[in-house]
Amino acid sequence: MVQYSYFPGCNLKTNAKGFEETAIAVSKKLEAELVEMPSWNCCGTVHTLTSDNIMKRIAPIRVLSRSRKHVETLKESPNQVVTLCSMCNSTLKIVNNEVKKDQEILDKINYQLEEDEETYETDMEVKHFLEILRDIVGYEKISEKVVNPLEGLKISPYYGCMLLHPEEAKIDDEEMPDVLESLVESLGAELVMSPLFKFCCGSYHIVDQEDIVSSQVEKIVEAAKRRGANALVVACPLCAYNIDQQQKAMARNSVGKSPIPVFYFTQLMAIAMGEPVKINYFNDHFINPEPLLKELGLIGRKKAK
Amino acid sequence: MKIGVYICECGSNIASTVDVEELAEQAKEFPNVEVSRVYKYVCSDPGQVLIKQDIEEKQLDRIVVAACSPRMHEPTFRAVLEDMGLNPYVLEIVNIREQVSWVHNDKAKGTVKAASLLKGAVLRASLMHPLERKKVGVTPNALVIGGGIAGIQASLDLADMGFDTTLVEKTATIGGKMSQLDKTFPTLDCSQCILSPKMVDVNRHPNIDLLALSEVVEVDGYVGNFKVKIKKNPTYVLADKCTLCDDCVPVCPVIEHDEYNQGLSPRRAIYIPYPQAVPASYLIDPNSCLGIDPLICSKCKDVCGPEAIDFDMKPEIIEKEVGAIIVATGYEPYPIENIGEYGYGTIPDVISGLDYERIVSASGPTDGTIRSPSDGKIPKTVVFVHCAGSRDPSKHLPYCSKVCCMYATKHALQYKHLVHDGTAINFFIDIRTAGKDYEEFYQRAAEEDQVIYIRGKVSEVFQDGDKILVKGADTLTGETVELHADLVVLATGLMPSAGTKEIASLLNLSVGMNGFIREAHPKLKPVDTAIAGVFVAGTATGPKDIPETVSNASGAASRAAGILSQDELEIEGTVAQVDEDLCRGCGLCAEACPYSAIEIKAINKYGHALRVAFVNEAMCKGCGSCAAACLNGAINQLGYTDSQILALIGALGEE
Repeated sequence: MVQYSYFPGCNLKTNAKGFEETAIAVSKKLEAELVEMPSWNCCGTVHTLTSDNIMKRIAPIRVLSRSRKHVETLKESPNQVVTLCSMCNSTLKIVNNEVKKDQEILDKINYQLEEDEETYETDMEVKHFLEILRDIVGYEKISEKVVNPLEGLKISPYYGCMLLHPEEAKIDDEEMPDVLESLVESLGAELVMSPLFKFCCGSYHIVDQEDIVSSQVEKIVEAAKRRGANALVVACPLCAYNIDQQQKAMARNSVGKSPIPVFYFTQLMAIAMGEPVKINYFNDHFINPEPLLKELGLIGRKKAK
Repeated sequence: MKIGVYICECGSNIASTVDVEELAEQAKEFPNVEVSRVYKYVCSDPGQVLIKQDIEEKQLDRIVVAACSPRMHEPTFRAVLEDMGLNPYVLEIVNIREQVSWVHNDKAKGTVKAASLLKGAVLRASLMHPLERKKVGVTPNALVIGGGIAGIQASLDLADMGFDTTLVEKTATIGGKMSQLDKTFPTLDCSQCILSPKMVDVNRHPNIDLLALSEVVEVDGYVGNFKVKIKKNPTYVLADKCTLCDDCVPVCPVIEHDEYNQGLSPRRAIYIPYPQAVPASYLIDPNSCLGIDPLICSKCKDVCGPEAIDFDMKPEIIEKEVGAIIVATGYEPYPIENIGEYGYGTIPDVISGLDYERIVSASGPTDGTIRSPSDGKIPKTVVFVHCAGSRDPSKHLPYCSKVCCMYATKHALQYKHLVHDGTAINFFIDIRTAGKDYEEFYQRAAEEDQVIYIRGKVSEVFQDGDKILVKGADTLTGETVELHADLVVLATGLMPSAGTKEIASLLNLSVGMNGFIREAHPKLKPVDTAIAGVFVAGTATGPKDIPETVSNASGAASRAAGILSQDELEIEGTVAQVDEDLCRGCGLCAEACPYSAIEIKAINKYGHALRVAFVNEAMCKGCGSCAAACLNGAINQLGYTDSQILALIGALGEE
C-alpha cells in the first residue's frame, strides 16, 4: 500500500463531497491511498496567477511545504502532492515550476513563510489523481478491481480547459488526450467521442454571466447526446457543477431537452468497484444519475457476484 | 622603414564627423611615418595614382589607408601595392567610416577616436611582414549531392560546361519531390512532363556519372582537391541484364506501401519506383523481401528470363576526387503526424498537400479522380488549410514556407476543374503570392473558379461520423466557422530533409536555427557556404519554389565552375602558422577551428614521435580562433600576430 499526501481544495469539502469520498474509497482499493494533508489552505486559485504579484504565490507554496512534511508521516509515500481538482492541480504545478526555475522568487516567498516556521525546498511534485491512476496504478489493475462493469453506460469524456492547458500544467496531450477515455473503457462502459471534449464550460462566468455558461453547456451536452452518449464524465468540480446545474435550468426553461447526468471520474470508479452508493452523494447532483443507473441495473441490485 | 598614411574624406561621409586635416597633422608625428595626406576619394583612380607616386618617389614600404571598411576596398589597395612591386600584405586599412563617422556625431570626439585607431594601425604596420600567397592545383571534377530538380539542374549545367560530374542520389531514382507533383503553379503544366526530359538528359550525358541508391559517407580534403567516398547500396537487380519486362512483380508475395504514392497504393518488394524512373531499373526492397537473408522465397528469380536478379549483391564503396561539391539535399514536408489540432495524421480524410498531389495525379493511386482515402467517394466539400504547422513559433515551424499559399490555391483550382459541383474552401492567414504571375493565378482561382477563401485559421478538425468537422474563425467578420467537409488537405510547410541534416554535419556546414544550411552571405553569396569549394543549391538553404530552385542550382553550378575552370587556386597569405617547438599536440586548436583546417599529426623529432598541430593552408580562413584557443601561444595568425594586435590595443589605451 502506497500512501499519497492528498490536497483537497475548497470544492471537495462542500458541494463535491461525493467526488472526494469516492476517490478516497477507490484509492484504498487500488493500494494507492489518498491521505488528506493536515492544515491545508486555499490553493490560491487560477486567476491569482494572472498577476506577477509574488504575495499571491505564498498560498500554493505553503501547501507544498506542508505537504512535504506530511509525506514524512506516510507509508512509502513519494514526494508528491495529489489533487482531485484540475484547478488546484494547475495552480500548484505552475507555481511549483516557477519557483523551481527562479531561486529569487523562492527566497522571497520563503522569507514570508518564516513567520509560520515553514520553508519550501522545491522537492515536491504535483500530481492529479488521474496521473496516479494512469502512470502508477495502471488501467489493468483498475480493470481487475471492477466487480460491476458499467455496461449500458455510454459515456462521453469532457476535459474542460485546465487539465490540458497550459503546457506546464497539462496532464495529457492537449489535442488528443486519452486518459479519461482509457479509464472509461477499463470500467466496462461504452466510450462516446465528442468533438467538444475541451470546449470551455463557461467557468467562473457562472457567477455573473450565466447566459454564457448556459449556451456553452448546451453545445457540449448536445454534441455528446447527438453521438449517443447517455452520461458525461468530467475531472473538474467546476465543469461538473456548470454542466450539471445548467442542464437543470435549461430543462426547466425549454421543453424536450432531456438532460444527461454528469459523473466525476471517481464516482464511476466507485460504482464499477462495488462501493456503497451513498458515498456518491448523488442527492447533491442537479440531474440525479440514480434513475439511469437503476434502469441499467448498475445499482439497486442485491450483489450477486 | 617608411610608412605612407592616406586619409580619405569620402566626400562628406567621413569629413563631416572627423577633422581629417587635423588627423593628417597628428599622423605625421607617429613613428616611421614618411608622408601623411588627405584626399577626397582615395579609392578613385587619382587617389590610387597619388599612393603610387609616393611609393616610387619616397620609397615607401608600408601603406596605411584610413577610409571605409576593408570589406570594400582592401582588394583595390592591395592591387596598388602589387602594381608598385610591394607585397600586398604590407597594407593596413583603418575603418574610420563605418566605425567612426557613421556611428558618431561629435566631431571632436570622432577625431580623437580616429586618431587612436590610426596610431594603432601605424604601429601595427611597422610590425608587418610580407606574406606569401601559396597555390594549389584543382581537380576539374564536380560532385553533386541530391538528385532532385536542384541537383539535376546543377549537374546538367556543369556537365554541359565540360566538367565530369558525379551525381549522388540516396533513393533509387532521381527526380526528387518534383516527380511526385501533379501540376505546377502558375502555368499548370504537368510536373513530370517538364522534369522527365531533364532526367533523361542526366542519364544520357557523357559527362555525368549517376550513382542512384548511393550515399556520400566521407569527405576529405579542401577546395579544388576533395576526396569523397560514396556507398552504393545494392539494388539486387543487374541493371545491364534487366529488360524491364515486369514479369517479376506479379509473382512477388510481399505487399508494401508505395513511397512514390505517399503510401496510398501498394507495391511489391521488387518494384520500379515509377515508370519514368532514372536510372530505369527494378530494385528489391531488402527490408521486406523474403529472398535476401534468409532466402525463403525466390519467386522473382525463378521467373526472370535474363537472370537479372542477384540476391547476393553487396554494397560497394566508390572513391572519387573532385574539385567542388554542390549540396542539393532538399526538403521534406512538415509531417502532419506532428499537428495535434488536425488529428495527428490519424483521421484518414485529413491528408497532406503531397498526398493530395498523388490523389489528383493521373499516375496516382486513383488515376487522377479525386477520391477520399477513407471510402473512395468523390468529396463534395474540400477544405484546404493554409499555414498548417507553419508560422507557429510555439508549436510548429516558425517560418513561412512561401510555396504553400500557391500550392493550396492550385489544389483548390484543380479540384474545381475536376469536380464542378464541389465546394473548395481555403482557410488562410495571408495570401502570399510573391512570384511572376502568381497573384493573377490566385485571382483566377477566387474569381473564375469560385474557390472560397476564408481569412482565418482552422482551430481543430474532428472525425464526425463519415464527415470531418472543421472548426475555424473568419477573422474578417469576427465569427467562428463550423462546417462539415469530406476531405481536408493540410498545406504543410517545408523543413530540411534528413539528408540535408546528415550532409551538413558530414561537411561541417553551419546550419541556421531552423536546420537549413546557412549561406556564406544571405544576400550576396546565396549559393556559397562558409567552406571554400562547397556550394549549396535549392531547398537545402530554405523553402523555394521550382523556378527559384532551378536558378539557384544554375548559380551554384556557375560558382563551382569558377573554381573548376582554374588550373591553380591562390590561397590567402593570412593563415595560421604553428610553431612546432611550442606545440604540445593537445588538439584545442583543432576543436576551435570552424573549418576543420587543423589536424593533429605525429612527427618525428629528436628521435621521438611528437604530436603537433598541422594547418591545412588551403582550408584555413585566417579567422584566428585557433591562435586564441592555443594555451601555449604556439599558433601565430600571419598578418595578425600577437605583437601586432598588442600594438593596436596599446595605441587605443593611450590617452
